[in-house]
Amino acid sequence: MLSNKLNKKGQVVETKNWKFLSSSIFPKTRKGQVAETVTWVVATMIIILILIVSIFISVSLSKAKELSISGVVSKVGSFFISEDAGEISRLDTKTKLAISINEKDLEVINDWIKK
Amino acid sequence: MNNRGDKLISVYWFAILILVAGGIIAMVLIFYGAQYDVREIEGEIMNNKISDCISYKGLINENVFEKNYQDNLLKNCHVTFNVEESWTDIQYYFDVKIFGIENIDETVAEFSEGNKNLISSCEIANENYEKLAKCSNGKFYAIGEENKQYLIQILSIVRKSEKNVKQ
Repeated sequence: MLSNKLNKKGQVVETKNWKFLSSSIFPKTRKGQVAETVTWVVATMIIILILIVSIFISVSLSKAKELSISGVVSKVGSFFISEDAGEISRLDTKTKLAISINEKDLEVINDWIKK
Repeated sequence: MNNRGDKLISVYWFAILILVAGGIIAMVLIFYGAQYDVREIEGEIMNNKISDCISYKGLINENVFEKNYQDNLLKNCHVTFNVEESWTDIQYYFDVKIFGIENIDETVAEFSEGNKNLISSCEIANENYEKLAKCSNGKFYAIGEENKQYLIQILSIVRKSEKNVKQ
């Protein structure tokens, strides 16, 4: 970070050599200074905006968090992401087993279960 | 090099760093700090547990038609309504209705257990009433003796709102 430079009197002086803090960041002209300040202000505002948006997203996601018997389900509006989708419920299994023994009146059974 | 500007920029960088770190901490706290509502799952588990002692491998347990078995259903199904000491009322309710397929409007057997006051919560299914009890309905089909067909409906209700919904 430190480099040696000669001053007007010819003496060796230690100076900082940070590129991002070099002359471009502190321009000598007023116009340059104004432009530089505006850039920093806009950059700060963008950072704050991104933070606020992210916080709002995490608030809405935390509210939509739901649990299902087959795993955690994150629900955002009508969009579902299931960690363990496709699991058949135990009651459905019982019904299927019973149907395999006696499948008479299958339509009545299905209608009643769906009702 | 402007020494004053140098210090100013350092302070600015630290401020931004704190702001971003604070934002990330806030996001994690908000997301993971939100309560999980497990009442629906609890209700489904209760449905499964009760259905297991009513029907096994598609065949109905004929004991469920006996009064003595129905009266001791909690014990027979290995279900307990015990909750933390913070509640004095029973926080659970379930009822079982068994219909014959020849007449699905009349029950062959009907029995229930738990806090009957919770039933009213099921009629109000609205997001604004999250503090009310959660209801879970289950329906299935089973075969009895002599190939008799039965349709079984189980309703499980879990309250425990204080632990599952932000007050």
